[in-house]
Amino acid sequence: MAKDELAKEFKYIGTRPDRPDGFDKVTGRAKYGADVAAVGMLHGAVLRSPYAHARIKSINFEKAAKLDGVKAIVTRDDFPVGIDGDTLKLLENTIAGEFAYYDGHAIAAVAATSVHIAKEAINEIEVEYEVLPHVIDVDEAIKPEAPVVRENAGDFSVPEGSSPNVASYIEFGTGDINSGFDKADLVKSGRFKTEAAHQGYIEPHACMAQLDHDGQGEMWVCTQGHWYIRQMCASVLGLEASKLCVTPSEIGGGFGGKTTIFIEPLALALSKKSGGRPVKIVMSRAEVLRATGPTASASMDVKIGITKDGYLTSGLVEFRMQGGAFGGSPVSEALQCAFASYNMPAVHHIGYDILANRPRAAAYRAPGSPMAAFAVESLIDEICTDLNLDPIDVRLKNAVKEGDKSSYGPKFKKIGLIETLEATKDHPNYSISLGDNQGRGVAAGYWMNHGGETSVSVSLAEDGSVNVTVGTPDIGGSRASIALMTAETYGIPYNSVRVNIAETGALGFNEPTHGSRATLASGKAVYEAANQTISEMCKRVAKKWQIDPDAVFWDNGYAKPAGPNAGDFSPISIKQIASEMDQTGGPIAGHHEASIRGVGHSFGVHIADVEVDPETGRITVLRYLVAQDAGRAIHPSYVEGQFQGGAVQGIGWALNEEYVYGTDGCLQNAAFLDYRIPVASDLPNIDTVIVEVPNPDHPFGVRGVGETGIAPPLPALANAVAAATNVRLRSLPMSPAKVLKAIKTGSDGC
Amino acid sequence: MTKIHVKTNINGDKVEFLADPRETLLDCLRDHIGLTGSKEGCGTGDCGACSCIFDGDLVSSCLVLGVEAEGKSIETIEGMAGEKELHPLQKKFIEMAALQCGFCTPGILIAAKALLDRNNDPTESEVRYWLAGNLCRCTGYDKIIKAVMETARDIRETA
Amino acid sequence: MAVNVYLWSSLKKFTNDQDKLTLEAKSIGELLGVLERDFPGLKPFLDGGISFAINGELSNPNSNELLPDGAEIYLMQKLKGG
Repeated sequence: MAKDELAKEFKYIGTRPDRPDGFDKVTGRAKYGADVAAVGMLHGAVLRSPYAHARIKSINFEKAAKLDGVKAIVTRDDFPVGIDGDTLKLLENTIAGEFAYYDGHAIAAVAATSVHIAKEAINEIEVEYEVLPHVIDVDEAIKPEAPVVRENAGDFSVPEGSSPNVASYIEFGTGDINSGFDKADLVKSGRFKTEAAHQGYIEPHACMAQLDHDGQGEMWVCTQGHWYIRQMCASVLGLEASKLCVTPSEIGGGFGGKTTIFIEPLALALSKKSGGRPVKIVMSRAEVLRATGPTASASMDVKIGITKDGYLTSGLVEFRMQGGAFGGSPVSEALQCAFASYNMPAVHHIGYDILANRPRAAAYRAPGSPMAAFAVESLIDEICTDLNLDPIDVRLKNAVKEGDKSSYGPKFKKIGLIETLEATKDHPNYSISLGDNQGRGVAAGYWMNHGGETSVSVSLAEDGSVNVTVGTPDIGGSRASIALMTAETYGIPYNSVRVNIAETGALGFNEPTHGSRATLASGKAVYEAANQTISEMCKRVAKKWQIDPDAVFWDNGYAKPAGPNAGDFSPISIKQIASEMDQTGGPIAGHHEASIRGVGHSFGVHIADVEVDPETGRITVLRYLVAQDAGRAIHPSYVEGQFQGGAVQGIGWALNEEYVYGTDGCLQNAAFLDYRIPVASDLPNIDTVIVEVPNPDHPFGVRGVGETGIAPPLPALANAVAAATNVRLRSLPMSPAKVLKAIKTGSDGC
Repeated sequence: MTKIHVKTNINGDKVEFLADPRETLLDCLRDHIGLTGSKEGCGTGDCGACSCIFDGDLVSSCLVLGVEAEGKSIETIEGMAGEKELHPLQKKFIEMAALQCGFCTPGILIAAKALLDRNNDPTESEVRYWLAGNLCRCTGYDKIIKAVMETARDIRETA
Repeated sequence: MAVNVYLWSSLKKFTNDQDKLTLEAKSIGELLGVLERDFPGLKPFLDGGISFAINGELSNPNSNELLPDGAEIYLMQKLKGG
């Protein structure tokens, strides 16, 4: 395919071939984080704080060190001093210094010849704690009299007189909201609350690391982004980045939670202290829930003005989010998403990032967007009910389109919200009739998506097949989509392309597989690199034909003369060119490094049908539809998979999932039994509609799709429950006890 | 702790290993025999990623002690494919994209096979309830259930 | 090269209460330098990492990137994902 065309008809893109790593994954052959072992390997275990907040007065590990088989013990003293800024927060979260800030905070780590000995040693470490007051809830933490989580936590953005637990503050807006509220026929406001949820990947964090005294290190780790792991480990341990080689294993889910470090520096530090022996650490499920990075909990106030015929005039939001003891809740992203779907003359946003004695929040699929969607899309639904307006029609009236100014400032380029709303309205699911105690809810959602730093290479094998090397781990089928884009670019069969995911030493920096960027960014870079090789192949053929390189073009796997004037030459295949490489100038390869731009935003609209049991409060999801703009679905099955997976995470967050803390500030439900994620019998089929409004800035029209799907379910389900019961729940999760109480009293107290 | 000598049969092969009495069957499969296809997702029998067949019964191998394998016959994901081709479920899962990260896949395949070995005409509801003990966080279960139903239909048609 | 820079409103206290600035800068690097020079209170924000939207297109800053004349530039907190 010539570089300058954005082809309308594709040969490979849009088909559904077998993914290249499918065989490995269905046979158990694929190697994940915990699936390796090495000669001389030690097993690591971590001592964790049993208190939500405590001063660590002393750590005595004499007894532990004497146990037969214990080879190394590390505490904060084994880490460099003089670190500050964001790296200090990373280090503090990795291993506590003066204070333990949450239940599960790592205090010390042990490496021993067996897991059993390591765990015994942990129990022998004596720690003297001075227990301090703690705070868990976000609205409690923002009170001026709340226990202080960390001293001097507020940054330069925080207004004078704010509570000591406010870590940062953001405010932005446009237009005159008061005038907008004056013009409205109806002004409605509400407070909405969501609890923290965990990404819930089935594979616990696991790594095997080795660090020698010469500073050379290796790590095998399940991660979404091994360059991030390298950078973070190097910075907290004071290592030179290039001397640490990080290899990504196959990864058993991430959703944002595996874009940062937890146990990895501990494994490296233990390895060095043991004299360079490999150290393997695998987290237990309880450790994953207590001490990795769930998302934030949120308390949100929304006020919206609307005319009686359904035009939004004004919107005001104030979001308070806690992201644990070190800040970093996704409050500014949440604010950017809040009104992003709508053309509103006036909007104002205020956000607080608040500390609490809880684990350090990590990203979770469209961070901030689900909370924002829950608040705004629920209130819009309440408004539609009050004014007796159709929820899709109101959204269509106000929907943003190309050229509109977004609620957070920049103008939109080509987007597909309107097409997605129309596809939802036209879908049969929107008109199926409902019975008693049943209700339907609609909601929209948005994620901006991300491009970012990307380095790839592409090379020709001697037989004309192609090797593609990328740095984005394959979490959900991206090898297949990259192979499809490569096949399309060259015009060669999909099975002639092999995609490798390389370790940090093999390529320049790559951002993780996050931000819905793998297919978009690696794909765009691979397209450029492949075209470099195509250009080189055309040059070599031109030399062979003794014509100008501009007179040779590439078509469907062949170099061809550009026209009858170029000469009467038979097309030459990639296979032939590759077989002669060594005689025509040597290896043919291309590479591309860029901070990829041209992301396409992805809007989604969901319809949820529920039945609510008035005797038990149990919500059954009867029917669920995801419609979302994918730009161009490279491999439609995996695009559908992202839609369905995101929707089900959202359903879990809306109906069941929450972090439950005791009065002691300790996590009460640190297991899958009580941290209840959806199971197969909870759900119906998840129907999907792939809307395609191609992204003009991508050679194949791709928009990131992975994240948006988790945002609409939170409000869609709340809207469906309100329709089924005439009771509006404004706090999540909508667990049976809460629903029952709300049915009886008329509200959930929010 | 003194290790115990265990003699067992795994995927049709005679196998021996030394087990610490505290070790689970899952630990032994993964650490002593190198069969890392069965996964630990929770260690408490909630997620099903460690599903194996233990003397004909579907079990969470994290809830079975390694020493209990003595004299028993165990089937893991590594034994599911035939010598020349994949099991129909494995083929269908790839074809229908019934996996994303693949971590829960071995457990789900073992569990689904256990169902279809007993009942090759399950309803969708029966499949969903049978697989309720296998957590998947990536797919939302939709394509998994469809793949199992399609395979059941294929099995019935070729029978 | 005059460009219009829009800041989020809580930064107004560092820019004499303006959330829209018209500045002369040829490149992103130059723009960041001008912002720091004229409004030193912004430095911690700029150092902490920001994303830009230039005429609607989101990206992380490339200091050598030339700015089109009259460009509409939005400064936003650094964007990522999950």
